Amino acid sequence: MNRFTPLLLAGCLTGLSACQGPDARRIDPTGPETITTADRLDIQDATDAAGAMAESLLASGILGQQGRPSVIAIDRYINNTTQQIDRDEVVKKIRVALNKAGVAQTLTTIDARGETGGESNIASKFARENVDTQPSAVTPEPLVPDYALTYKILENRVKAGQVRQTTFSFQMSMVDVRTGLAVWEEEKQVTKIGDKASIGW
Amino acid sequence: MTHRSRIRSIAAATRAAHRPVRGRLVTPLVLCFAGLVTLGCETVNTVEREDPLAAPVVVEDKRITTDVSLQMAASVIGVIEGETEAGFPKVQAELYNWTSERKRVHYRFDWIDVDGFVIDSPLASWQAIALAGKERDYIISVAPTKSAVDFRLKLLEPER
Repeated sequence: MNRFTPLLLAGCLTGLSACQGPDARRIDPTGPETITTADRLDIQDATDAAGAMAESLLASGILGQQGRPSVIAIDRYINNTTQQIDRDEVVKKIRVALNKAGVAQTLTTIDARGETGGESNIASKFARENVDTQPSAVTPEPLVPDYALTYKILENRVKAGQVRQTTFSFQMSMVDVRTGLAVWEEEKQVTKIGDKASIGW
Repeated sequence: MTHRSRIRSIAAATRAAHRPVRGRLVTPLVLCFAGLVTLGCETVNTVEREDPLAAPVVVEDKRITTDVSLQMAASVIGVIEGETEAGFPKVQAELYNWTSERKRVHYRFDWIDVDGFVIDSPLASWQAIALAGKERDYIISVAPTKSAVDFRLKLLEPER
């Protein structure tokens, strides 16, 4: 009986260790090892959306046409999802990509309450208020944005039995602040299906 | 009836009883197996112009293949290159799934400047694509800067 005791203990320990999850480790946040949830906006979803938007913007050719980086005002952000999503989860990556590409510089608009990204067309208001009608020798060049970026996230949830499907729609528009015309628009959808979160995607 | 003959008759009756049951069972089992096999298959039929009008600039590529099953799931048919209207280099790779099953593949484009340095950008991240059986599909990447001159496409099979 004594001979079997160590074997039993070893078996129990093996069983217990098999029940434990993997040890914590650092992973590439842009890699395929990140956790995928069925109904949350994951880090990879934000990266995918930002990448698609930035590539579309670069491919459009509307930025940097004046021989200098275009000035973009991040104007309006609407989050029509059930989650609290910081707008910089997606917008910051786009800003970094455009800035590094050398085709755009961004500024954040401030509304009357001192909050960033107001609901009105702050970029146009900002532009109107900053154009000096009587420039003097010491008046700096007014900072007038070329474009205003509006950004919206939508969420659609459906369920079939235990399987849930969630779609996040990222919609962006770039408006010429002088004309009010939308010169670029893009939509990227991320759809996920499943009943529970998993590691990897 | 002797004991031996009784056993013989019971055995014969059992055999007779089992024979049709086996026949009844085999057919559904074969059908189920065939169903399972066909469930895994999902291939694509395609139609396209016989003589394409497009005249793409084909990239002469160098390939290093270390995963044969990945090569079957997402074989790179060819790579073409061009420029966006703003002058950013772009490439497009055509993938083909040689298998009859739906396959998921991860891919990533890295862009390299004229000095051979990789260009760090939020656009450089792993992406996923699903290819149905025998499907051709395209993956496109726009360079993060105009200074990009070379690219490297990496393909990876999911662990699951």
